[in-house]
This record gives sequence, C-alpha cells and structure tokens, in this order.
Amino acid sequence: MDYQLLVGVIYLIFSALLFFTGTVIFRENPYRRLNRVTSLLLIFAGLAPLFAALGVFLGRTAVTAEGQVPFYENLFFLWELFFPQLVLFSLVFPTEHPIMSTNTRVKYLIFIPHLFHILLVTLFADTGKIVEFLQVDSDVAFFGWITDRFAFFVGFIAALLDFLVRLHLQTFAAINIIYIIIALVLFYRGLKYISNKRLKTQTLIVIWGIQSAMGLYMISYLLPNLSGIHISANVQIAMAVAALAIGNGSIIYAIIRYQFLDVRLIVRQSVVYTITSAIIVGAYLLIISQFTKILQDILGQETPILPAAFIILALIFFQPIMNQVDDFLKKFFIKGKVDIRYVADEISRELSSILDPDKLEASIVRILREEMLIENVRLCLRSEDKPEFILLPQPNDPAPEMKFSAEDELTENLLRRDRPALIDEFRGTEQKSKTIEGLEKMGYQMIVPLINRGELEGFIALSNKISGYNYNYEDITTLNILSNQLVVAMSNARLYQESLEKERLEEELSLARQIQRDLLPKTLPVGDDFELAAYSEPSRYVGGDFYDFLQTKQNNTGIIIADVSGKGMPAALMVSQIQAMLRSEVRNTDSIIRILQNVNFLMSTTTSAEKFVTLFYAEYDPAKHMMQYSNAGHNYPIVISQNGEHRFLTEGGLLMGAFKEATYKQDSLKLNPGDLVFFYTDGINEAFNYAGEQFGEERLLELIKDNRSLSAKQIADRVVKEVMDFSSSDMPQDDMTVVAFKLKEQA
Amino acid sequence: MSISTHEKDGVVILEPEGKIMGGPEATELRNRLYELISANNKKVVIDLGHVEWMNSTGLGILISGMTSLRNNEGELKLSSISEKVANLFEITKLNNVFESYDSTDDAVGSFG
Repeated sequence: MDYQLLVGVIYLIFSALLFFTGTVIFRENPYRRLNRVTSLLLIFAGLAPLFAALGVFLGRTAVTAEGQVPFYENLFFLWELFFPQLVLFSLVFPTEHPIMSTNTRVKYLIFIPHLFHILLVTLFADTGKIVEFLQVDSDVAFFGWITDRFAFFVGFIAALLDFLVRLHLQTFAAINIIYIIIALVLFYRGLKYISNKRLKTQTLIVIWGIQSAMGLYMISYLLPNLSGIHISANVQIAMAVAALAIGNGSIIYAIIRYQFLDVRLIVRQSVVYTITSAIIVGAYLLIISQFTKILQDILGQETPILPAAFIILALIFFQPIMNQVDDFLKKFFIKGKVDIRYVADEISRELSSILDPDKLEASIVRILREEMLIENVRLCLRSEDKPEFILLPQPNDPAPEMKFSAEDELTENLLRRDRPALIDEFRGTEQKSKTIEGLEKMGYQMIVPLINRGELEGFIALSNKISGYNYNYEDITTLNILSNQLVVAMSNARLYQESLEKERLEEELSLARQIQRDLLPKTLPVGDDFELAAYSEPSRYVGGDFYDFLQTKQNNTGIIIADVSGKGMPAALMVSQIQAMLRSEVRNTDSIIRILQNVNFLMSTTTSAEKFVTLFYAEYDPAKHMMQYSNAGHNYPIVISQNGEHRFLTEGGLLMGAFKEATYKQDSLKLNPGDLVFFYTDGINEAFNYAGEQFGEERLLELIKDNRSLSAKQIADRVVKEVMDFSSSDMPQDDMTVVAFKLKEQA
Repeated sequence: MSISTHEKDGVVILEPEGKIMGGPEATELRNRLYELISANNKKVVIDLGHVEWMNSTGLGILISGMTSLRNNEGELKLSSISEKVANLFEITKLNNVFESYDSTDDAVGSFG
C-alpha cells in the first residue's frame, strides 16, 4: 500500500480541520478581535499541511516534469505567516496586551520580516535569479550602460545578495523560533492578569502545546541548518506538520473550551459533518483506489460495482460514524459541562457541604464564574436589621459594597418574576428602579432572585459571559436550579450559625451558673447549738433566688433568704447586686431594720419599680437562743417546735426595691432546743402538679411538722424531694430554695 | 388574656382575666397601663375579680403602674381581689401600699 497517499490524506484532513475551525471561530463573532486573530492563525497554520498534501499528491507529477518548480512550492512559505500571527494571538489571548490599543501599528510591524522573507523566497528562490534579474534587459541602453559601467559592482552586489539570501534561508527558522519565544513570553505575562481558573488552565495548555511544537520545529529545521545533520524533506515536513498539529491543537482546544462552552448545536454539528466526511473521503481514496486496481487485475476490466457499493456503505455508516464523532467531540471539548444536570449536581454537592455563610457566598460566585464562565458575579443579600439589600463587594469588581432600599421597585419585580431574568426585562416599567440603573451601569445583565418562602432573600447579579454569548434557555434553567439550591444552602448555613451561637450562649450561661453557684456560701456555718442545711436550684441556668449566711457585727449568725422578681439572667444580675449590698450592710450596720432600709433605698434608686426582691433576714444569737428578724415581703418562714406547734415569721415590711421610702419593723423570738425554722421561696409552695394544683403552704406545713424530728439536712432534702415528686416537671418550674435551721435537741 | 376596659365617673376600670404570670398577658396589662398613663388618665381601678393568680411579674406591673400614676398625681386602686391573690398581697405587705376595695363600685366611689 502506498503510505504516501495516506500521509497526503491525513495532511488534507488536518488542513481542512484547521481551515474549518478557523472559519467557524471567525463566523462566531467577526467583530471580536480574538476571533479574527485566532481564525487567521488557524488558516495560516492550515496552509502548511495543505501544501504538504499537495506536495504528496502532485509531487509525483511535478517530479516527472523535470526542471519545473511547482507553483505551490513557493507558496509553501506562506504558512510561515503563522509565526507573526502567533505573536499577534499572544497579544490578544488570554487578555489583550495594552500595546494593542496604544500602538496600532504593532500588529502590522510584526509581519514585516516574514513578508520580506516570502518576497525573497518567491522571487529569488533560486539565488541565481538575482544576478539574472540585475543583468536582465542589458540590451536596453540605460541598463546596459549601468551594467557595463558597474559590471564588477553588480557582480559584487549579486554575490552579496546571494550570500544574504542563503544566510537568510539558513537562519530564518531562528526568526520563527524567536517569534515563538516572544509569543510564549506574552502568554506567561498574560497568565498573571487572569484570575479565572479555567482560563488560566487553558492558557497553560496553549503554552505547553506551543512549547512542544517549538521543540519539534527546532529539531526539524534549526538542527539541520545549524549542525548539518541531514533530515529528509519528508520527515522535515512531517515534523513541521506534527508541530503545527500540537501547537494549533492546543490553541483550538483552549479557544473552544474557553469560547464555545455553549457551542451551539449547529456549530458542533458542522464540525462533526466535516470530520465524518473527511473520514469517509479518506477511506474512499484509500480503499477504492487500491481495490479497484486489484479488482481490475483480477477481472481484467474496470467495474463500477465497488465505488457504487462504497457509496451505499458510506450512506449506511455515515450516521453512526457521525454520532461517534459527535460523542467524542462532546466528551473531549465540552466534558458534559453544558449538561445542566451536571452543573446542578456539581452545585448541590458543593453548596450543601458549606455551612459558613461567608464561604457560601464566595463559593457561589466562584462556581458561577468557573462553571458558567461568567465575567462578573455579585451577590446581593437582605440586611438582617434594615429593610435594605447589600450588594456585597467582590474582588473582581472594582465597585464597592452598595446598599439599596428593599422598598425599591426591583424587590417587587423580582418577587413577581420568581425566576432568573435579563435586566432588560425590568425596563418596561414607567419609572425605572435606581438599583437597576446602577447595576446596568456596572455592566450587569442578568438578575437571579433568591426567594425563600415568598420572601426575597436577595439576588445574584451576573455580567456578560466570557464567551460573549447571550444567556440561553439552558443557562436560565441552570441558574434557576442554582438559585433554589443556594436559598436552601443559605438557610441551612444560617440555622447552623444560629445553633453555634446558641451553643456559645449556653456555654456562657453555664459559666454564669457556675459564678452564681460560687456566690452561695460554700460552707455552712456550724454552731454549738444549731445545724443548718440549704438547697437552691434555679429553674433555668441561673435564677433569682439566693440564700446567704453571714457573720454579724456582734458575732451572731446572719441568715438571708431572698427571691428576686423574674427569672433567668436579669434576675441573676440583680441577685449579685443585692448580695453585695447585703454583705456590705451586714458588716457595717448593727440594726436589722437599718440594714433592710438601706438596701431597699439603694435598690429602689437603681432598679425600675417593676423589679423587686422579697427578702427575709434573721440574726441568731446563740448565747440567748434568740432570733431577731425582719421580713421584707417574703414567704413567711415557719417555726416548728418539738411539740408540733408552729408560728409564722411575718413581721417586717414591704418587699424591697420598689418603694424607696419603705420602712421595716423587726421582731424577735426565743428558740427552744429542737425548734426548727424553715425558710423557703415561692418555688416550693407554688409548685404545681398535672392537675394545676399548687403544693401550697398547708401541705408544706404538714410535711415539715411530720418530719420535725429529722435533722435539718434531712428535712431540707425531704421537702425538695416531695415538691419535685409533686411537680409535673422534672425541672424546677420556678427557682426553688430552702434553708432549714434547727436547734440541737438537748442531750 | 383579654383585658376589658371601661370608664365610669371619670375612672378607667381595667378587668384582666386569668393568670398574670409573665408572658403575653402580662405584657398586655403593662402596655394598657402605660397607655392610660400617657393619655393622662389619673384615676384607674384594676378589677382583679377574674384574676386567679399572679406571680412576681404581675406584682411588678401593678407596683410600677401605681408608682407611675402617683408620679403623675394619679392613683391606682384595686378591687375584688381573690383570696389567693390577697394572700400574696399580705405576704409582700403590698396591702399596705395598694388601696383595695371589695367591689369595683366602691373603688370608683372612693375617688370622690
């Protein structure tokens, strides 16, 4: 089999592909410089395999016609325009170099060496022609005169030119390599200015492709010219074509992935048709030309059967082959990214795992920019405390954080639409929203509302797509899916933050609980003739109940039980304040009445009338077995003697902290051995059961009376247990405090 | 809880119902009192006949209502206090501070 033919076909297909891709890229948007430059680059590149193919197909005939240099042989050098074009390409991809706008001549200047080169090789491919040219028409008088006069000079110039042309031909490959290096430098420079990850990868692909191509090119052209190692022309051409294939392949790949993310079906289909046709034509050329010969040999005559059969087969297989090519191209270039299910899947996987709202915001912006290739993306979210929306700052967008009122017309429009829409669609209303105007000025084109249970949480503003394409139906569907996912993810993240906040608060509360616990006396005073027991449990982390045992000025034992109105933290804060006041008053004042009046006055002036404390203060004098007390609106402590008689300690005055002029009275009582004084707060008597029935004072009185012979500690425990058993809940319904004071029975 | 309000002989009468133990019902009573005070009403009677129970929050509201009215040269009087609530007033000695009457008419009449 003639492999030359195969090589020719491959060259031809390759060339056709380059031309075709170049044309498609040009047609996609002729007004874009990047498109124009890329398409011309690919067309120049396509010239090389085209001429190589022509060389293969026509070469044989050309060889037979001796002495004739085929026309394409000179045109072959045209493809070298590829190199300046590559530099031009590097000036516009991935970003436009500023020189393109400051110096418009650059784009022409870079072609001068090559134009000169082509001029030289096409006019003076044979160096002898230079001398011929200069000596031509020597019979014309004027020229003859010149040539005669300057025969030596002309000869010298001819020789010089001859030398220069040879030198030029030998070293021009080096110029091409310099051009490639310039292009590479420009690509690397461009890399620094791009933040889009995908674009970066694509630029790197171009760089690598061109670097490998340069390597091949250097081996094939520069090496033989510089070192004299002979490489056959065929191999040289093959290597050049391979280099072009790699270099251009990388460019095509990058450009298509960069530009043609949403390559329209028709464009893709045309590529597919071309390739399929090329395959079939190639197959036809290969098979038919070979087999007809064989058949001819066998049958001895020409037969139209085979070509006809082939055409039928081609018709049958055209569609399946095309589908295969289509699938391959889709996989290769597009990697399923246009598949909205793919993008949606990616989004939901990524978003659902993020619980930090800030990261979520950053991630949504990144996903949109990278997966959908959108130039700028900004998130606008509702402010938590004001009826306004905040356009969050974004590193790629110089516009700062912006706020706008939620009462803007846009809010209403977005809620009504409830799906992504072009900003243009909001333009119809007679009075244009300020926000829309602002967003438009910043170059945003698309608005994706974020709606959660009928409320506008915010929106995403999208600028144009990098490709320059408009948003199509698939994009809007994807954006719609995305906005729903984002709303869910945002509300998850918010809940998570709230739970974290709650956890933190709980931690603080348990710390507060510890602090409050530490404020209660750590050890109970032990007297010669009495025992004490105390219990206090807040209904929440902290509470408004407290008890305290203090040593008075006269070395008596002071007993305090108090209940601040309200519960929880506000009550707890007041507790610590009152506790501090009392400790200081008890140390400095020797009259019970004065202690209470002072504390009441201080409290009344510092707290609102609604906040108060009921408090019972008693001092026990062990020498006289006397207890002096004053009751500031507190539940009456119960005194139970051994014989079961009881009395309540009622004397005193108003609850404290509400009336600053309140006055207090005191009373005293003589205690006998075995007498119990039981102090409690309303969490005890007001505990209720499932029937809504209160524990009540009577039940409490009976309970204490029945257990009066037990120790102070046992009585306190018993009461707490009974109340908890009675109560309908496992936790105290209200702050619960008891203090049991019992005189020892005489031995 | 619903608090019915009516006026008799220039005296505003509030009739809270149920339990005054913090929560929305307490807030309503507090707001109602403040509204009356800011509207410059000086004679207010709270009929506690339908109040089963109140806790320290309820007491706090009554106390602050009374002090605010007094600062405004007004007066808050109570009427028809149930036995249970009366016990609470007794323990806290608030019965010495609040003027209370067996019936609302008596309370209104006491303003003279």
